Amino acid sequence: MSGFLRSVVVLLGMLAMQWVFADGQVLDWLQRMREAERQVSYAGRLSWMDGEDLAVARIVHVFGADGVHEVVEPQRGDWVQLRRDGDRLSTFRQSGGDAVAGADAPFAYPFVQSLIRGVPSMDIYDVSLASAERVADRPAVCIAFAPRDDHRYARRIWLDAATALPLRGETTAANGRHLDVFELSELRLGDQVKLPESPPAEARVSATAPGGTEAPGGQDGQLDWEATWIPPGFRLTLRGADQPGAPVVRPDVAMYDDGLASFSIYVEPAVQGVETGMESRRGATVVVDQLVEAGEGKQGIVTVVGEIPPLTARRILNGMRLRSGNR
Amino acid sequence: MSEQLREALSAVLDGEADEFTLRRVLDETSRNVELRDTWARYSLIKATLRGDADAAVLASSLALRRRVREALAVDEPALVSDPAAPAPLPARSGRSTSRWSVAIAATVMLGAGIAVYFSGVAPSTTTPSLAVVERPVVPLFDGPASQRVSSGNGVAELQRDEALRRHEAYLRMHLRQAAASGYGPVAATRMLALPASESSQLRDGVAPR
Repeated sequence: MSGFLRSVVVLLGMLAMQWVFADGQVLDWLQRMREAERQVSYAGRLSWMDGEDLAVARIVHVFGADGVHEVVEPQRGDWVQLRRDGDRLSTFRQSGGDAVAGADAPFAYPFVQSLIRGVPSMDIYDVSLASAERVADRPAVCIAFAPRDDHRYARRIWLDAATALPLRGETTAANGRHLDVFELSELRLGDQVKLPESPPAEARVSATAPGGTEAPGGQDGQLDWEATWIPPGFRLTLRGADQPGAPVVRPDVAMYDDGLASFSIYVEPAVQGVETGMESRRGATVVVDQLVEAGEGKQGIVTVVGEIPPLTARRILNGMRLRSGNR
Repeated sequence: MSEQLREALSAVLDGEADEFTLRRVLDETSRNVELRDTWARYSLIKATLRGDADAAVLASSLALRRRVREALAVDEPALVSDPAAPAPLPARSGRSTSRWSVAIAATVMLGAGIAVYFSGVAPSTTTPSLAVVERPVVPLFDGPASQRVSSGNGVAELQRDEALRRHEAYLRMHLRQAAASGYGPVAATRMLALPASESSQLRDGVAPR
């Protein structure tokens, strides 16, 4: 396609989008986005700017008569392939070894669904169609999620005008600073998209059922706890004991989600010599912790990790109540 | 007051400011009445929204700004004499120290806001607690932990190094759970892009004791 023709197509696309904005059909666009994974096969390059670091993965999504297939291959470090074939999830690693930390947890939902899990409540986000722009060399429509309180970040997501696939997303702090950015570029669509061959079986290291929540833990030494304050709009999506990668002991965990952002609360018995009170961050994700009295001379360490403002994380920490004794 | 300055102040209060912005705002507060008023007003709004007016007053106090100056360890006299203020923090040197002190200074400036959140649990205070000063923001997975938490004190350094490793381990766990419970390829890509842990025990999922 010549440069002139491409410009005309882009211009027409943008004009069409302007008409759509006037109609204000935000929810229709979100619905189209969620349906896109069952209507179109695509492949592209998924880039994620995490603070000052860039993560890149190749993504191939094929929808056929036998359902959804999706392959994600991060482009850094040892070779890893995360693969979805219908409801079957697999992780393949180089030589079947354990070169990559924590790679044994394949994704529960395909890429598109994982960006927005349902339509976030209008009570917590002001959702609007913001502008028409060219993104990743394609006409796109931008949907803005402006938080109605201080307890979450603003998000914008650009959907492909033709397919409603997400092309770009941004998370920004209240001062407008970008905390993270993703972009799906070099997009290929339709019949030209082919699924990579499945790696040899010996490279497969795990298979996990999709989604689901873990059962409550209940082990010796754990502390009962209650979060007396959770930011409005966040709902509990997971409660149980986490095991792999636990830094000190197996902590109790709860995860909360508002449809766009999530945070986790980890509770563990305090260990002598462990310093708490530090605040750290990577991209939009903040980590804060605090020593909390549990009564009967016991203490616990509460850690909050999530894509929420630091002050909100601190407020969650300060609302934590711990009690000693096994559940 | 210019929009740029307003944004800089907002960044400072949100803990998002770099060293240059922080120093610029501090310098401006010593000669710009409007900026001081805006600082107080922003803090008051934040505090009022959270139901704690004491913290708002604290945020605009001269003592707080003096503490920020001390945290930055600037080679200039304090702007005001405040006999009630605690002794200055010890001066540090070097690149990592600069980053550390900016983080501390930014955290002190956030003290009022943080104190607001403490107010529901801890007794209300009229000066920023040292606990607030102990909470600089540290970037995760940004080079060896020991370079980011250097304090010159061997024991404290080890503890902070260990604390940072804990945070990095918890970040991995959060992303893994996010990937498994709904955030999918995005969280998985973020997780797999993280550098390998410095601790082989953490890398293998074994709890260090």
